[in-house]
Amino acid sequence: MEVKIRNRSRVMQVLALAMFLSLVWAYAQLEWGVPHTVKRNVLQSRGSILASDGSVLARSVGGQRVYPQGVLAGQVVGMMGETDGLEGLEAAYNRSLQAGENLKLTIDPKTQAAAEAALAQGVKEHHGEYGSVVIIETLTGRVLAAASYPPFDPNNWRNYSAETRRNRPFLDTYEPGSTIKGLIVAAALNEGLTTPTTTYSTPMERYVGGRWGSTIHDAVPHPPTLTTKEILRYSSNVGMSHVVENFAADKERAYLSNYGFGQDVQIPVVATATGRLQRPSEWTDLVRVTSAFGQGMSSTTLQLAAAYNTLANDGLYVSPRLVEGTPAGERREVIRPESARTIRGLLQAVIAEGISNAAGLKGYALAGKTGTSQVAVNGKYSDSLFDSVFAGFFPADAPRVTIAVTVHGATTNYHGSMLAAPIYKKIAASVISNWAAAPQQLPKP
Amino acid sequence: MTTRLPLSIDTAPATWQWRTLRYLSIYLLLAMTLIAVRYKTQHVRPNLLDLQKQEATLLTQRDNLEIAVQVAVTPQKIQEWAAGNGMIHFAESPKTARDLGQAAAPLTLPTTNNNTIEVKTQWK
Repeated sequence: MEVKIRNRSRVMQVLALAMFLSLVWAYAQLEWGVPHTVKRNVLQSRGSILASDGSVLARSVGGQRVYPQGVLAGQVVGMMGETDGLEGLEAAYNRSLQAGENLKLTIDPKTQAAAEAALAQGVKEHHGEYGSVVIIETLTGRVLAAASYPPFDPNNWRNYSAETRRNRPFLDTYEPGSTIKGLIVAAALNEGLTTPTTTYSTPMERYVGGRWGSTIHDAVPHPPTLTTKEILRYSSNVGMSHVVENFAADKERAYLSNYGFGQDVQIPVVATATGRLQRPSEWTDLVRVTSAFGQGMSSTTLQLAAAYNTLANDGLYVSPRLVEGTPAGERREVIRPESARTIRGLLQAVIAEGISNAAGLKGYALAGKTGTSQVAVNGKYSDSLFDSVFAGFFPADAPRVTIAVTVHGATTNYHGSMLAAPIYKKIAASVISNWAAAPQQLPKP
Repeated sequence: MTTRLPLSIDTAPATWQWRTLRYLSIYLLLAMTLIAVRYKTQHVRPNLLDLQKQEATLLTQRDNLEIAVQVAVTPQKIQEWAAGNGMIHFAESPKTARDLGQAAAPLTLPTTNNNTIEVKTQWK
């Protein structure tokens, strides 16, 4: 009898040990990695991310997440970890993608590819560090392209640094420089403070700002007097100081704010930077003047594109959209349609009469403004680090798309007219060719 | 007042032996039928599993081929190929203007009076 009991207890011990070991094994599976079957099912049922033409940007195949277009809009799309999105839209729309819903973007692959190719070529040729481009459909605010350089391929995301994975057009902020002149002149026209033919005395430098002021300089040699049209053409800081001479600080700031600077971009879910406008209490005379040529404020490429899109869209600000079907953001009138039409003519003249080789295409009415800004390093403007910027739209008389370009840290020919403008031109050529738009003999702007 | 119903159970062994044989034979018949059907259809399940595997393989192949096609015809590759073969955007091509005179005038449609259509509308 005793032997029988002992044998039974041994069997019980073995069984208990086996059950305990099976628990240990199951726990280890969870701790060291999700069981493959679970991971596979989660991935397989995850929704796809599609471009506006239906081509696939991200998709699950055979239990793996693949990105067939490779680097195309890589930073926008982001990437997946084991079971969840880690960055970009994969992370922002993780829940709906996990629920099996597809995500359709406003991104147009051809336009995106053209932007990425032109940006890459420009940055490489001028030995820049990085750059970004945003292209917006004028009437709707749909983002047709949001390009970053250096490129990022989500298929091999572990090989890239966090810097390279950064969605630069939405997140990087910088001083937009002289591109702001187009927006401020539009505001001044709207307020009746100037006209295209108003003439100002424009020496190459001028002291502004009263007791706490500073001397501002012009970079491009120009005649001693300039009209408002020519101030944009020569990108004269001194000229801009005259244009905003009677512009009340709070009004000028309100215009910049209405253009979207220092405001959150109303794109649902997606991470964007706000940029910076100085507080109203900080708007001294000097700030009022320097803000007229884009110093002392910061913006993302997306914000700059949205602001220029206001000029293209007859003065109506339209919030950019990246995902089809999401609610449209705010629309607001910033300037009157007549003022917008006038500034479009002036910005067309900037290219036609000033930088036609760098930014113009014969037979097509392109409009835009360059900007070159020194980058602040340790609280001081650097003499060797620059942002090259361009913002514009086309066709100038009835715009369909707005483009903003930025390249940071170029060491050769870093001026906006030498670097960002040719990138704009290349993208415009590609977009217009896709439209198959015939060239026309243009009247002088 | 209650009446008691007579309770009579047939407890004769012969009855229960007969019943046992009857139910056992039915059970055996059903079991044999089941085994026979299972024997006849034994290939169905493995075939189904094979087909499911084949379907999964073909779906994966199709998905992979779709991906391969998309990778092969990305806009970047097409643009690179075009640029590599000396092509340029037509918007960037050199342009010249020339007056084509009458050759560029739009064609005028012949006017005839015989092709008029008369329409009568009747409201109900």
